[in-house]
Amino acid sequence: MSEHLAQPDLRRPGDHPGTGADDVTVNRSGRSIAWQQWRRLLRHREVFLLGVLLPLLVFIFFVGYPIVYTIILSFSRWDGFSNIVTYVGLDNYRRLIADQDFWTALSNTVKWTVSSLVFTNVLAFLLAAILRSGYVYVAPLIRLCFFLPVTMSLVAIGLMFSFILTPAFGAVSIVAQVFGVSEPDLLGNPGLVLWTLIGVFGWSYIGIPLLLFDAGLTQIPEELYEAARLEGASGFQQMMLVTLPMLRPIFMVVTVLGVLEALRAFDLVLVMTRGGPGHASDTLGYFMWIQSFDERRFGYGAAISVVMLALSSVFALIYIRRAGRDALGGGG
Amino acid sequence: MCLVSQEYLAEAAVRVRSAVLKWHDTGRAGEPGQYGSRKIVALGAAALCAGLAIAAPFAAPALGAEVTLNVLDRATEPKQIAYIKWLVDTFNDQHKGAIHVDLNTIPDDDYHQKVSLVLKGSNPPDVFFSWEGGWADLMRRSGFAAPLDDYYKKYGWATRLTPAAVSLATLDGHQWFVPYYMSASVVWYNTGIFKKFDLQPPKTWSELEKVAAVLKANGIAPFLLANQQQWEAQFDWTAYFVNKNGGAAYQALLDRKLAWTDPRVVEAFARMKEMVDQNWFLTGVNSMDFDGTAIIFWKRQKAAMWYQGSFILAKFLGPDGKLQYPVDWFPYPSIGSTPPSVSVFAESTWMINKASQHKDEAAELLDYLVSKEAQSKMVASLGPFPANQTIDESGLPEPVRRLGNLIAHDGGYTWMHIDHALGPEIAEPFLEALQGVLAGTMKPEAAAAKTEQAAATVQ
Repeated sequence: MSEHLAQPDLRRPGDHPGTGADDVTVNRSGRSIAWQQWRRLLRHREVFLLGVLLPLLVFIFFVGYPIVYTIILSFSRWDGFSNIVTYVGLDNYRRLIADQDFWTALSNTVKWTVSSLVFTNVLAFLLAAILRSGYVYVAPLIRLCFFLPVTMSLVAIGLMFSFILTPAFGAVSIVAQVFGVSEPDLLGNPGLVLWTLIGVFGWSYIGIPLLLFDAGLTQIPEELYEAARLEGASGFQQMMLVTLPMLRPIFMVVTVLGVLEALRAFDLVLVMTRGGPGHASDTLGYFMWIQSFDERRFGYGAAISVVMLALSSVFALIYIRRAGRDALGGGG
Repeated sequence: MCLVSQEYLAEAAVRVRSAVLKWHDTGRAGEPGQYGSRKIVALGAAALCAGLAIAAPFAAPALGAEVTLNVLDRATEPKQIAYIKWLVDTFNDQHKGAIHVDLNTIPDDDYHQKVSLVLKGSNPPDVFFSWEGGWADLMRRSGFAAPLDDYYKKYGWATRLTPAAVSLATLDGHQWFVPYYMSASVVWYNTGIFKKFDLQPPKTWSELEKVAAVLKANGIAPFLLANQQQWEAQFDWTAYFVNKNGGAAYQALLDRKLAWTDPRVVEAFARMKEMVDQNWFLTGVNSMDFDGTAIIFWKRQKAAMWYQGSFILAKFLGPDGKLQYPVDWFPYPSIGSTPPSVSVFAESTWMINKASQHKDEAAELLDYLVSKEAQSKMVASLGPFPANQTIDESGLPEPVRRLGNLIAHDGGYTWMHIDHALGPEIAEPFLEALQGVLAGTMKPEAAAAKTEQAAATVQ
């Protein structure tokens, strides 16, 4: 795509007639296109003020400042009450590296992220494909059922599952008794608790990837399948050679959304286990909250936030680069 | 500073303005070259009005105009919210024109996190809820709590409140808060189950072991422990530690004169784990929720005893103030030669903000909080136990009255559980470690070492 085609024309009818010619001159003299754009923008004050400066100020105030403040706070010690904030250099980060609970939380977050991605993406894709296959009569109703949990608050879901999973009289326990199996303590067993939470999270989140895959499937031209069938492709080959490549952008979106959502996992942990037993179900988000607001180590909590920010940024950057390439038609 | 009320100032401004205009109309009205004097005078009067209106709010309190007190309380349950609302409304009615209380609440679970923001905000409360012990000390050290020694003398709170309440409110030789809702930790037991198996409330640890054996043999868990929120198991831990090692050892632990890695501390962790392994508790101690599901197990008679604070009576008492279940209590049994002791603590207290401009009015509110009228109403509508020791509790069920009597007149040694006694920097790691021990993910030695590490950081 030519650079000139990509430039928005900000000239107004009343602008200096020589603007275009000047641009060419400037361009020939070696000034960058970005510089030209910047000059044009400055000439249109209202666009500059409302379209650039205002959003920039809002961003700085609501996003930039908290991030910078968190980074600064991560080099200090503060209990949240006193006015004394002590600069401690890299102490919080050193402590983070030596803190076994932090590594448990990080490891749990990675487990949560990877397994919930696999669980939700694969299952959501298969469900979307089955529901679009035409063999399911009540597909819209089933789709609605899967999407309903997305509209529920995670706190409500957490409370509901706490009751369902309670030993002795929860629904799971009753089913286990019917089959003569001993009562499972899914939230009290350190080996099971994280996977139980991941399962509940997957249940509550699957509606989003399902909806996105479903929308993606409807966008694939039928002609591609017809052409594949004419070439003798089997159903499996159609899926591998047509469906999956065509859904690649959707996979990208659901993966990044899933990663960001998993990194922020907090509500379910708070309501269902409080990170316990011990630290068996701690995630980074919950660990940060406990350190900052319960144990009143705001500097240490800020250091954990910075680690989370770094992890989120990596995924966000991958997504932005990928999305930009896809928008330019770069594909893979 | 002006010493007049807002209404008076407004009225005076109007009078000045009309007098000037009158003078202007009769004397010099309409004369040319007088700088449009009518306009100037009118503008001057308007400016005077504006100036007086601005000054009035600062002047108002001096002449006894109504003072507004901001109160921040924690909201625990509907009954408690209704009671505090009643308290504020009644106080406002009784102090109409003098003091008006604006009540704000934060849910119990969020209070820890949000109170610092509110106290450091632009409109901090004059009076606010505080826990006792470590939390109260944190408030004191952070400069939020005003010392109340003078008010204790002025209102005679030291004699009106129970000895335990006064002792708990005293930190570093000064009084810092007014407790109004007291609690005591005892072993609650199902009298029906005990009667069925011909059991007597145990007085010693060996008797307790025998009772536990009988209950287990009959498919009933000796104790209920709902530790999902992590604070619950510390009740059993501290009771065991204090009754085994004595109050002096416990105090030494709190004062950092005894290390958390001391064998006695490790042994208490190990004993808790042993009790789990020997099925003294129901399955799923760490997934059972105190607020939600625990009472269902109690109601279904799955467990016979529950060591908890008397605030649990909110679950046991019906709307008519009668016990809904066959319940009585006994003190935690003595272990070895150490005499048993009961933890009596302040469940709810109010502090006056050091930055408040209305400390006298705030003290008047605190005085009403522990007055006979307010505390009687609390007993009737919220439940026992008041900090005011003169309240008539004869209408309460016998076991409750007996405990109330103990709380009101127990002048002996009392102690707080860990999360009350210590600040959150040590208490939270301790609670996490204890839960880890119960779950088997942490060894008792490691739990002790972790708590010691947290305590060392604070020092």
